[in-house]
Amino acid sequence: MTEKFGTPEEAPARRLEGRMQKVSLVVSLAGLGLMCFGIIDMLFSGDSFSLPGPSVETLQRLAALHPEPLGLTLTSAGILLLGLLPAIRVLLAAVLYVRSRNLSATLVAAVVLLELLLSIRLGC
Amino acid sequence: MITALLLFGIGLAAGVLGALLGLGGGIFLVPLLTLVFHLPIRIAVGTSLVGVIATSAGVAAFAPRGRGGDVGLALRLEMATTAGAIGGGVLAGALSGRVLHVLFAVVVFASAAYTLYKGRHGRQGSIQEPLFRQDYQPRHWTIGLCAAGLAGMVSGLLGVGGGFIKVPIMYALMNVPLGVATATSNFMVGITAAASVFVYYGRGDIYPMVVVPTAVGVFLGAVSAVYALGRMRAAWVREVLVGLLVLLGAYMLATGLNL
Repeated sequence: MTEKFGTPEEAPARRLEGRMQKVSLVVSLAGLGLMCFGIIDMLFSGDSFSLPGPSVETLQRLAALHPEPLGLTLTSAGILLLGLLPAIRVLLAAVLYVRSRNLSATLVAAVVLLELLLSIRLGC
Repeated sequence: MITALLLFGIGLAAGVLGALLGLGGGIFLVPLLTLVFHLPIRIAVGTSLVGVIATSAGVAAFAPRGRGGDVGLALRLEMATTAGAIGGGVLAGALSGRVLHVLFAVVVFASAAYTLYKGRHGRQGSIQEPLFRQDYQPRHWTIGLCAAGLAGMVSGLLGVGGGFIKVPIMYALMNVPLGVATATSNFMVGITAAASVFVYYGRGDIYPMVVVPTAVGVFLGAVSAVYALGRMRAAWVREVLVGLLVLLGAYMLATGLNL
């Protein structure tokens, strides 16, 4: 049996849906904005638009805050931010489950988050 | 610049179709990117995974209130799907491009069958049962979790959302209403794609020049589909789409078999 946090009658479900909507909007626009600024900077820095072009910055270089070249760094950061959005939504659900003291749903969300963290670890 | 506009256009079409059908859009992106731009399939898959996340984000950000998925159900199934997606992402690095092409063709044909199935059941459902009924209890969890794991593996291997596996399993087997199953699948495809996108990122299979115009197009396409959904009849889109999927599947199969 599942808790129907998606059913419209339940207040926690509405709260969760509303917050997920706001977070999805803000994070996706931020990610896409960074990606677009990055590409524009790359083109103004003399890179031609040829496929496939350069690959993304490694996570290590991004984590070291090494913004050279700036365009590629911004684009890579935007792609990562968009990639992190689903994890942020799961985290949001987990926080709401903790607040509503729903242990089983919290554990399920925690397992999914751990799996996502493992995938990020594999990417490093 | 024409290349960027073409990528944007392909992304826009994939975003519209992916969001309308609850598929994610990767099923169109991968063959089109390899067919039109002759990109290696791993780059196409990496781009498609970012596109699937953009579709899920666009739908989540702009879907009307009360039409969200069952988050509890989605997260339970995602435990299996995410594990499958990580496995698929890792395995994709070990398989040859030809094998991936053939696998993709099989998945595209299955997706065409799913689209026909959804068209038939969606029309029946709109007459006989409400799409967003709330008094349901999901059942057959073991089979549901196995299918979710398989959908994740397919997603990680081929860069598709896996909605064509998840929606029929939730609807036909787990007793979830079709509308809730589609909305839940839209929520899930983003998480599934995120689980393998980092593996592709770490391997250097994500290329900004390909990803950025495509992802922007996909996002805008998904948002347009959310607004268009209430105003258009999707039946004819489905029928055109099946023809398109069969053509794309045939192309991928011919490439994989070197015909």
